[in-house]
Amino acid sequence: MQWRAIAWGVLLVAAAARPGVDALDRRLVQPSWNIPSNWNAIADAAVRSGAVDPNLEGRRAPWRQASVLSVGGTRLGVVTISDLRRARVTFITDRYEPIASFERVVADPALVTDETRGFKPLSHIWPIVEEPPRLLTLVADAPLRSDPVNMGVFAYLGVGPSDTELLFVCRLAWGPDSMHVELVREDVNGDGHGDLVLYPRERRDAAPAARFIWQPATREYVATISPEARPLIAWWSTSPRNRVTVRADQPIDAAIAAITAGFGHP
Amino acid sequence: MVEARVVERSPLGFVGLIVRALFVPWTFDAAAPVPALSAGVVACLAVVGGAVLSTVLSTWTYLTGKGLLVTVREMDMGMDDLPADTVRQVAACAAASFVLWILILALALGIAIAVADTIYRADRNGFRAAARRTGAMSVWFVVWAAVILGANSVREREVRHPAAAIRAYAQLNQHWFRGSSAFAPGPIEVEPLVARGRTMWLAMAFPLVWALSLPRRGTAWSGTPALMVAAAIGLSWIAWAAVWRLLPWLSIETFTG
Repeated sequence: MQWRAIAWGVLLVAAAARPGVDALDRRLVQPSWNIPSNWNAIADAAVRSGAVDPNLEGRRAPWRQASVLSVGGTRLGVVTISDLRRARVTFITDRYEPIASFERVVADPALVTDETRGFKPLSHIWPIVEEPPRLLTLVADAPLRSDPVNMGVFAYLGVGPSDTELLFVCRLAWGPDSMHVELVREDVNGDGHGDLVLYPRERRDAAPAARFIWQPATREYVATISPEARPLIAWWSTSPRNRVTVRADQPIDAAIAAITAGFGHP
Repeated sequence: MVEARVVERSPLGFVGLIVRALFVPWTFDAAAPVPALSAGVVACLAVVGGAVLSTVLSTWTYLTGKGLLVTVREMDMGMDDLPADTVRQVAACAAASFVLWILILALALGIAIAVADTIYRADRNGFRAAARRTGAMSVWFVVWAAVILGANSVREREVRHPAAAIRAYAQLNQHWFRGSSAFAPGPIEVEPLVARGRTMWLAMAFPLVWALSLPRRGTAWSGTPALMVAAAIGLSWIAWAAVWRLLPWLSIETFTG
């Protein structure tokens, strides 16, 4: 009789305290980092561990998604929580340490739920580059369905743990005879920093239509644009005189919109 | 006196055991005793059968189907920028799903037997009868798994196309919304028949039918069978609630698919 009462008591106390259950759960789910169809479990584990704030505007976000990237030889989890209008993207290590985060608000749900690109236009289009203390990535302000970066508004970001710096914003348009350019990140001058290049008609073997060379000393892009590319791009670069940062808990879209408003009508 | 009369009867046959457990579980007292071997065999078959049916309704079935019908390079969730799973990953996760469902059903059996042990703490004959009947009643695990499969088909409006219903389950479980998301994503919707949702139905319903099979005649509960049934159900739900909080649900749901 006594040992039964003790056993039931232990069970109820353990259920109340849940000692080590969440830690065990996180450990058991760790193999999911290697299994693409299990990646969403990383989002759930990140929320449970506190690495990702599950709330948007004071309410629990109803949707989550995660993917895993290899950055500089290490794995990064890209965790998105969203209500399909507003979203927060958090980059975490495989120890569930948050290293960068930004938020977005969009009018078009397709922009935050672009299934055909694995939900990446929201978080990143290009491979992420690590330039401590920030992660560099390009985000889109137009739904991309596995399309090249050749039309619409794009922003190149330096995402940090507490804020996001806008490095470069551009609006790409198509000209007559389907003339268009594709935005590509390349190290043009071999200085180890990523520069931005526009190639005509997505032909990377052609002479660039424009180059935006990163100047580490002044932290700005210096442009060289051919006459035929000028009608196809409107652009803005960060500079020592005009640096735009957005707090991690504020959406970046208003800042991007303020910049593109200065471009005038396309 | 009553016990002596019961012992003299020939044991229930295998089929009779299952039929009685399925349709008239409250009549076990009026029947011959349940043989331990038969109860054990039914329990093993029911746990394995329930686990097989539960594993069928999983992401891994969908991915296996894509691998067999299309190519192993297509074992993904339909998002073209995400890589596919490998054959080994899909096979390992399907096996893990099967094992996890076996463990969950074994846990259900364990909880029932633990509750019976408490209910019949002063009546070991009653406990032994209850334990054997618990084995027989585990045939309801197969019923539960089949009902879940059917409920998913009804929910997905794919009663005539079970494979399509499983595909819809897997996609909703992955995406958390329906529809062509790139153009018009549907409202956010979390798949209710994932492991936790399914197990919740088992935890709620199994004690209700199982308690009906418990021995009443010739036990300390002879005068208050309704109270005994209520106590068994209540204690089962308390045990489930406690165990529920101790289970690593995130990994269970991840690997059951």
